[in-house]
Amino acid sequence: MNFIKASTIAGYAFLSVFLILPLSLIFLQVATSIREVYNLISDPFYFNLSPEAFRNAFFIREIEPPVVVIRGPDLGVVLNSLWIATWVAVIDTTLGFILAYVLAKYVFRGRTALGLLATIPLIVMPFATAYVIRKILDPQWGTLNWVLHEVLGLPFRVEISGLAAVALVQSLMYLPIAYLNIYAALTRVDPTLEEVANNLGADEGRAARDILIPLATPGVAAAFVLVFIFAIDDVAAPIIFQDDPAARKLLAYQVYSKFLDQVRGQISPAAAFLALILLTISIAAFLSVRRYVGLRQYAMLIRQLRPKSYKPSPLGKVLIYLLAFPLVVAASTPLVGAISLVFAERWTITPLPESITLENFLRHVGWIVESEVFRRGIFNTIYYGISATAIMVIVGFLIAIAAARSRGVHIEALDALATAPIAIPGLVVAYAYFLTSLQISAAFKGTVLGDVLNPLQHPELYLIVGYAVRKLPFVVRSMYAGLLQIHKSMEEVALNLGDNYRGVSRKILIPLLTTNILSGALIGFVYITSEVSLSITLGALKGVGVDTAMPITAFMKERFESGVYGVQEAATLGLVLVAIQISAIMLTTRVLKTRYGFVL
Amino acid sequence: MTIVKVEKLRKVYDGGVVALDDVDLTINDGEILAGLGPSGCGKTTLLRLIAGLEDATAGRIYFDDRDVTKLPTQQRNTAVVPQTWALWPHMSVYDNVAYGLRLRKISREEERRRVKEILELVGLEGFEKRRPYQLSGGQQQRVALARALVVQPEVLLLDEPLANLDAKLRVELREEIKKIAKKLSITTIYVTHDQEEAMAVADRIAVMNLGKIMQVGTPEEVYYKPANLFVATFIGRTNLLRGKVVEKRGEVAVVDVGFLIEAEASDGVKPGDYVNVVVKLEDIYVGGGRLKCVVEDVTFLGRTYQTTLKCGGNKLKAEGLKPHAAGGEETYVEITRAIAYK
Ligand SMILES: Nc1ncnc2c1ncn2[C@@H]1O[C@H](COP(=O)(O)OP(=O)(O)OP(=O)(O)O)[C@@H](O)[C@H]1O
Ligand SMILES: [Mg+2]
Repeated sequence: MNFIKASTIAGYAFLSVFLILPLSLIFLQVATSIREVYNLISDPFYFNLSPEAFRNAFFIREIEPPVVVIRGPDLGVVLNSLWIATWVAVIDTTLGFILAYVLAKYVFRGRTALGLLATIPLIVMPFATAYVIRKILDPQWGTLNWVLHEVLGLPFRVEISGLAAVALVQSLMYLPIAYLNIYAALTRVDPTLEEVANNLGADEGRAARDILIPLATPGVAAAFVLVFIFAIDDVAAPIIFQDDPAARKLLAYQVYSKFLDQVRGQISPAAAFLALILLTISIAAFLSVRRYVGLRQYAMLIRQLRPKSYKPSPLGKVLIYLLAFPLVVAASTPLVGAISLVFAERWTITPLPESITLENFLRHVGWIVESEVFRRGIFNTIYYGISATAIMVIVGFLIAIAAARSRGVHIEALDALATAPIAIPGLVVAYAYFLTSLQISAAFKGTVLGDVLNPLQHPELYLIVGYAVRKLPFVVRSMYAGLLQIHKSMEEVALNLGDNYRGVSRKILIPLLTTNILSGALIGFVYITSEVSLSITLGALKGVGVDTAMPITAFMKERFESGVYGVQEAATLGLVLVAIQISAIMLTTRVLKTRYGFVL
Repeated sequence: MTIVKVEKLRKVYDGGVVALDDVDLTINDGEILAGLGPSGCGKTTLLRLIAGLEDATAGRIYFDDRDVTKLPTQQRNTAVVPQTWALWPHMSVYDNVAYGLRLRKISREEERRRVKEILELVGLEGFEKRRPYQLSGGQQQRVALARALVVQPEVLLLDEPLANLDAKLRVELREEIKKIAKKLSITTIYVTHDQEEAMAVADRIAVMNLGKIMQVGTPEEVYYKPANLFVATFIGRTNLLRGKVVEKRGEVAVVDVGFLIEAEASDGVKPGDYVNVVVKLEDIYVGGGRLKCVVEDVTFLGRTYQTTLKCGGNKLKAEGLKPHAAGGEETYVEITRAIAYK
């Protein structure tokens, strides 16, 4: 059997066992309890389109001073998730387009700074963004009202809470994803196409409307859908705002809390059903842009044309200085806020963090270093990151080579399957793995294997495989793009000289692909270390003891939830996480001797 | 009805590349001027500046008496055909061509009439509904031309419009472009690095090098009276010899290049100078003359023969209609014309 065929089979085997099989258990659970499921969806908790739903969306609380309250309509769990994700996707695609447009098109003072600032929010400190925004929005002590009311002296206060707050947080979190994807799409359009239109009399806006936008639409659509999927799958923002019951009425949060119920032994088909809805929505969204997010399309996407740069028009100047700059500043504020938490004494009832000093920073770092449990968490993150990355690189290489070097329906399907995890919510994977792991350990009950495979004792195994499956697409893409650059004749010459394909891979492909393998591995590692969904579910199954399986992100969630000093610890852990990621980036850059650019 | 005049035009790109170095040039009304020069000499830059797609670093551009230097491209009433043609892939042939007209807010009827007219002119009637990728290279080129012409520009700017086509089609289309430009008597700048193409289409040729105009003249002038060494060696196929001027008789310099050669003396050439002597391949007659050479090799090029000769320590190439000698033989040759440059 030849190597490519074997790779194809290996790819299918991996994805079938670790993706399709667990997911199908969810279907099974839903199917076996269809009646309960029906009762569930008729509950207005899940669907609610009555006028009642809009009553608290927006109103003015008549106290002194009056408070403008923005909470967003509460349409029930399913519709809430839909409207928030749609809203976030619309906002981020629009703003991301403007950012990408001015950066792709214009030369101006501060362009490099703007580009850099725009990508800063890619450094994710899970939960921290949401937490800092919660502090800023806090109706009583928050920075926003302090600025509006005390500093600017406006005669009213503003309260953004509930679902509206979640939408705001997610918009800021996912803006860079929209921006980067749209930027890639815009720079792929040959600037001459617009120039000809200009030359025939079209002004900048007209040329953008007639030429640039239609040609960039696939990329923009892909960005829209990616943000939609990220938003609908996000559980971090609802968790941070969970004190407000409305913020809990989201699919991702519900799946999460039902998961916890289930761990406590309270079986309910609702979890499976909600997971299924979440999965269906995400997959449907993904399929709608499938053509634009497949491996082949992605490989084209990173081959960018050098954009031609223009001096900004007056409208362009307005966009740059009145929109783009404030926007990126706003989007990086949460990160700045989170870092300042590490240096602050506290941030409780003041509009800004109190007494920012180096001593505080050292003290907080000390807390982390001295705690055996936190050290264990840091170890876990690195251990999971490295193990899962190793799996992704091996499986990713096999799939990439199969996809790049052969054709046919089975390869298309493999491509689709390998990129699908982008659209499969982490919580759904978590839940599916949980169900699967219970089945497996039950099957081996009483034996040593039964203990080893018991998710309550050893969630690490499931976590590592789950991470690898979830972030596989990013690694495969990187290697696939690299393989397309290597001409087939290089392999053919070697094959012709009598080597077999395995030898060719080892001696020719892998050395040539070093850059792509390493950058794919890096993306995978960075994404895994900041992964939330699996980490706070499977990762927390074993609890918080000294032998805990929780990675840093799970600790961050736990600490952010726990209040005053926990927040400082959470932020410090976040900084440690960022430090780990930056070290990985620098190490890779060092090895590759190239500047590394992040593209989703 | 436009005269394009360029004065001391200068373009320095970010990074310091001087792409145009104080260029002076006039293109007469209805004239086809070819910009000819090696890659990177600034041809595209010149076109882009005239089209208003790039700002001049210094200098002026006039259309008749109007100073258009600062005018944005939208208001210049030029039409560019870029080297890649830049057809809009998401629009049909009709929409591509009609685009400029729609910006001019004419009636639908008028639009249809003019698009039809221009598509007929370029021989593409019946292709309106196709998308650019459904056309051959030559057809795409015609669409690009039609799109530019339909707006009745004052100045037509063609940047290597045939570079992406095969040799045979190039010959066919260059004649067509010339015919159309002449029929519409539109002032045209046609940029190319192919000298035969430049000769074939142009009324006058501007030879460029390193951002400077080396010579402007009719095809015959630049061919037969190259103003400097660059033009002399760039145009046509030439031999370059180096030697010392031993004598000057009027406009003729006698140069010792290993043998004595009589060359037209260009400006400033005086006895005792070391000079470059340029001899076109077709100006060496093989098979009779005063210079004794050894034939090294004869190659049939189709229609002509190229003879490689060894004469007095110099290697020379000659091109003629007949093979007057075979490899290894001794022969006599006559150099009928040579020019000496300082
Ligand atoms: N946008 C730019 N930025 C910097 N340098 C440029 C830019 N465009 C062109 N140049 C440089 O200016 C010089 C002239 O370029 P130009 O494109 O005008 O040459 P050209 O004669 O059209 O060449 P070709 O025949 O290869 O098309 C070259 O050295 C080129 O590298
Ligand atoms: Mg050019």
